[in-house]
Amino acid sequence: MRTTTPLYIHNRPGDLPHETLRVYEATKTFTTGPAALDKVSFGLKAGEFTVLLGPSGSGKSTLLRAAIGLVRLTSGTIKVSVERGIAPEKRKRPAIGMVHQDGSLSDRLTAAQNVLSAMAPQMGWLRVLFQAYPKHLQDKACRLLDRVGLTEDQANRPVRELSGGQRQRVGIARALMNDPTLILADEPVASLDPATARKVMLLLRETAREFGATVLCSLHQIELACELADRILLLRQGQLIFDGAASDMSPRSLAGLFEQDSAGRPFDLVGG
Amino acid sequence: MQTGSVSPGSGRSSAHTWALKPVFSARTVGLVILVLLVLAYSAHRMQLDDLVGRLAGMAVNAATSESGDAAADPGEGVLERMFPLAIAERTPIDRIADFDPEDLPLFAHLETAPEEVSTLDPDTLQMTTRTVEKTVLVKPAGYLVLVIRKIIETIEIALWASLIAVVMSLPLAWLSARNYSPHWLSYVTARSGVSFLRAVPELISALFLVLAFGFGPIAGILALALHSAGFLGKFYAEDIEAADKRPQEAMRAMGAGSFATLRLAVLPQVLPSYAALTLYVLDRNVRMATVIGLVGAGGIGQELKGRFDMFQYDRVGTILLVIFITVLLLDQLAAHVRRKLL
Repeated sequence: MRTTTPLYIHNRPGDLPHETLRVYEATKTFTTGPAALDKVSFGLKAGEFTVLLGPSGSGKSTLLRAAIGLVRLTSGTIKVSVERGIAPEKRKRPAIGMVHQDGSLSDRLTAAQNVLSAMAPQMGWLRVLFQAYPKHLQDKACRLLDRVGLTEDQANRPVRELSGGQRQRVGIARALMNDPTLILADEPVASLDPATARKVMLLLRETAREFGATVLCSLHQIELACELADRILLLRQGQLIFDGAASDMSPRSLAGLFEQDSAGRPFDLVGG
Repeated sequence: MQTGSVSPGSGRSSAHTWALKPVFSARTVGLVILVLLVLAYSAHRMQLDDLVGRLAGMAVNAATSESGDAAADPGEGVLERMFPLAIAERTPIDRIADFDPEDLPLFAHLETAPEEVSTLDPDTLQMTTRTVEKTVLVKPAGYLVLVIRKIIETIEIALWASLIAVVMSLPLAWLSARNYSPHWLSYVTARSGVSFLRAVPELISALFLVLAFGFGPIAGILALALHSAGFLGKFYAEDIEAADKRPQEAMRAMGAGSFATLRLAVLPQVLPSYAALTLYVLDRNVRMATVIGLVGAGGIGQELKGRFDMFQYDRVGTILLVIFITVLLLDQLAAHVRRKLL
């Protein structure tokens, strides 16, 4: 589970990018099975809220994991631009926040400790060992937890004692902790009920906007995607088959695309 | 999704021709039979069939209440001779240097008891037995106090051994966890080191360490610590390897190195299991500390071995009872601590 060489570029100071993320012909093949990603190319404009739609196994997770360096692409490049954040030249990687599926928090640490763990890569080992973060970071974590709707009591409770929705809120706060320009979210609401899922997604969109972060969020709920996204990317069997504004397509026609196989036939009950 | 018809796709066989995998394959059955045959052969070699006959014979004897010839069985009567347990310590005062009857130890009293003394009559060259009144100092719980003091020493040995084992095994666990070892060479070295520590039984290393450090607790502490470090190193490492990958991946995604990932994503997960393992090792070390005392490595075992060799089974009984109660109490304590931690 070692991370691969990051495929990131740092912008020169003052060089404002139009694109926060540029994916160029990203291809990933595993030893068995068809390509998980097949020459996927797109760019994300700064501040966009983009939803990556697709059925299970369509390559959404692989794409997001490649963008953060957890998966090495077979070919192609992914570039992430950084224009702000705490001393980017000191970072090993640009400020990307990631919201994972449920289960990515250390569930015996408190909510606040989880949020602060985002700063651990920049801390010395003694601070990490005793989880002794500087006061201004602690204050920042408290502000973020307050912003995502947790109370002081909940902030000091082990994460495993929180509900699924609260845990994802903590995940969002953790992703925001290191002032990201880009937030990648991998099915952040997959384990939540529809009402809670909608609230958490709204929170993600609002907070990302406040912090000026670009978001690429994978989902499989079409209605939620149409409601919230500025732009929708639809992946199917590793290929990008739709890229456009959410208003360009009705949820019905998107659902039609969603439920087709690569030959354009609708999936039947035993297929897929 | 409204078609509702289950249309067989291309290359699919229809469901009624499917064969489901049998739960027990012929290979499994054959393997079980083979294992049973090997066990039967081994049982014969180990004279287990003989044991069954002897146990049956003993049961018949007990049922017909025929004591048989007790002398034939060396183990006979030991249990009876353990009772009553030795609690008091009786010392004839003429064996105590500078005895002062005015200044007795706490709760102690003097007793005069007749004692039979055999002496050689110089005239007849015959052994004569006469009874003399001897004054003995009786400490009512004297022996019990001695045993308790010894068991505390034993617990101390176990505590120090466990502490040293934990300190040694933490870095060993890090090096011998496949997914965190910095290099394959460090992994192989640490793994084999841990296996070696575990492979040498405490009793054997205690024998050598007693030679090196002399009789006493140091040899015991080191012998137990080395073995426990091998045990803990292995299981700590396996816990690290089996820990949930998702929090670790999240830390990696944030750019954290091995240390931060171990500290923040692995340690919180494995801590309850580490605590349980450590408590088990402590509990085991208390029991083992009594055993290695037999080879002179300090603690209650030394006392036990001495009394056993002198056929003082009433004292052996006291020691065994105290060990049993101690293990029972420690078990309760461990269960309590585990409940608090989990």
